[in-house]
Amino acid sequence: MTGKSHAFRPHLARRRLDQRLSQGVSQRLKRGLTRWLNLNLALGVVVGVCTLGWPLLASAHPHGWVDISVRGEFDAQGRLEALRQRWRMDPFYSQVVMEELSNVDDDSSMAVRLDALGTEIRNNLATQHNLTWIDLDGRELAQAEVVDTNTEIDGERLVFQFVLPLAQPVALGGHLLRYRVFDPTYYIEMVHEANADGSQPLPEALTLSNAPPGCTTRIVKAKPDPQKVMEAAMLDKTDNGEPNLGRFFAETGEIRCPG
Amino acid sequence: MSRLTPWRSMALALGGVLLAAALIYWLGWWQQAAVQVVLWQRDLYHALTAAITAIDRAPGLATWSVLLGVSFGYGVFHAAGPGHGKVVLSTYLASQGGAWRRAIALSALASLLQGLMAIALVAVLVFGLGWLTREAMASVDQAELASFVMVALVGLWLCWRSLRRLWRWHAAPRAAAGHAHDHDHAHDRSHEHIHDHGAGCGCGHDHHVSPQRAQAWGTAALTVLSIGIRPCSGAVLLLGASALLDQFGKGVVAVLAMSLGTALTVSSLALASVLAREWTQRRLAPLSGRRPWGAWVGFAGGAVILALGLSLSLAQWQQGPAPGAPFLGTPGAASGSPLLPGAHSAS
Repeated sequence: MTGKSHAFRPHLARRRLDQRLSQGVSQRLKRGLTRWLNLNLALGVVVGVCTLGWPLLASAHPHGWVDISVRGEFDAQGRLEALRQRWRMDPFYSQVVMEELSNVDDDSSMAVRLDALGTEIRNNLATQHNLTWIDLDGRELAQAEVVDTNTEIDGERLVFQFVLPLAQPVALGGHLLRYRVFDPTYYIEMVHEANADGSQPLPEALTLSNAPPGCTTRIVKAKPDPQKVMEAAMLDKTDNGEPNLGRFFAETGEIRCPG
Repeated sequence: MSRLTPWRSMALALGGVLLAAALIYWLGWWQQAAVQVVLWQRDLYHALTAAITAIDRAPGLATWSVLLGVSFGYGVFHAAGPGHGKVVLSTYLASQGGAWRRAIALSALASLLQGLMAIALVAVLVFGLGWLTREAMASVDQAELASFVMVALVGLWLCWRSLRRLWRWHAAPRAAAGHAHDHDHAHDRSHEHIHDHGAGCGCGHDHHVSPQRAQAWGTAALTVLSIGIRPCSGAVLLLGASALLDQFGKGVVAVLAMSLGTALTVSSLALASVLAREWTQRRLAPLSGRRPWGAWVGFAGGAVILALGLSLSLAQWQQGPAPGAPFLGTPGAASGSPLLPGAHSAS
């Protein structure tokens, strides 16, 4: 089977003969050293490949996605008080969850089941920072408990809506508010609603209600820095031991109000 | 003498390869490529979902070819990410020998088996036993553990085989030496002479080694099985969702096209490791003399595979189920939710 590698080669045969004749101590030493080096290099390369690439395995790429849209809600004093979010699960994941809903073994109505699912999702999200991170000029803002959840089926998609209030309403005059919505493990990709080829976010992906005049919004695409992604893949693990990569691929929503 | 001695050219080549690797890493190309693969995979997943729904609406040559193309591409890039299967296969081929034909056959079989396992999993668990798709996806964890344990077994078996070879060589070094000597003369006369065992291997005294061959195929089969037994949870999701959309047949076709893509990537890697091994063997042939260095390399390869299998099994054991979507609990886990009634999953 390995015949190809053993085909007759005259110069090799001659060299082999030479070596056999002059096989002194140094030759033996060289040979031993080569073998040892070769073995260790081979081992080193294999181990290197494992340690460099291994952490990126399996969950490093998304297995589903959620199209999100966000509405910044301002109170009567013109302060931002909450982010209302609408999450549209991808068609496949929606199917799988709906299968589960229709398999519940009691005679509850679909509406009741959807409500129960909404509660479950809310409770799961509460343990994970609601997958939302908000900051004002770089200083993180605390969140209050999610309220006003609603789950519905829209065509082939499962849609989850909720209101995420800030712990305290903030006046945005002269400030920049940024938020990011992402799954740290990057198992699920979260993106703002976008056009068909996903290149441009839609205007309705980030809107404001009751905002003071002059406030503007912007959605900034993620530009993952390969060096940092790789470092994170190697060192930065979530509680589940998964690489903490989601933040690198997360979009940033910005709300700016004139001061 | 301007000619390089074998060990020098060997060291040069290895140094060159390491230098190139270090340079590529330092320049950031490796990282860039890795991130790019993740991004492409994300795009391909979107396209895959769209392709299945598009076929539903307008079945035709165009939609079918899009589905096939996208699935194939997904498979190529899915395999381009690092995974234990590729490490096991390339270590196995680099250390245990095997011609390029075998390398391609093993890679293709392992990739195809992975796709078939996903199809079988959904067919048996979801259609046969009435599990939910999400529960079937969670069962991939168990298949993964089985895969890791089998990898450890393959490593153990390879180590054992190499040790036996070494022991035999040490038990009868003289006979082996004389044998090898005679061989060289045979080489000088006959250009067509073909070995049936590894370089410097002092074991196979007769050339009709059918039991050994059978053993080698047994090990190869175990290697393929250890890699292929673990289906991709993405493929299970795809199959489950397409079944729910009454498109199971299309899901099957997509998964098979994916396997072909995976086979392409994996066999390229396998081929590279075989070429590297043959090159090394050629360089070291004059040095190998009558020492069974092939057996030592075989042992080292087995040890690496064993260590990989053990550490992965252990990590999997400690870690428990892999995380799914962050907003939903693990199906079948004791989440207390009335919505997740299925307790089929053993985890």
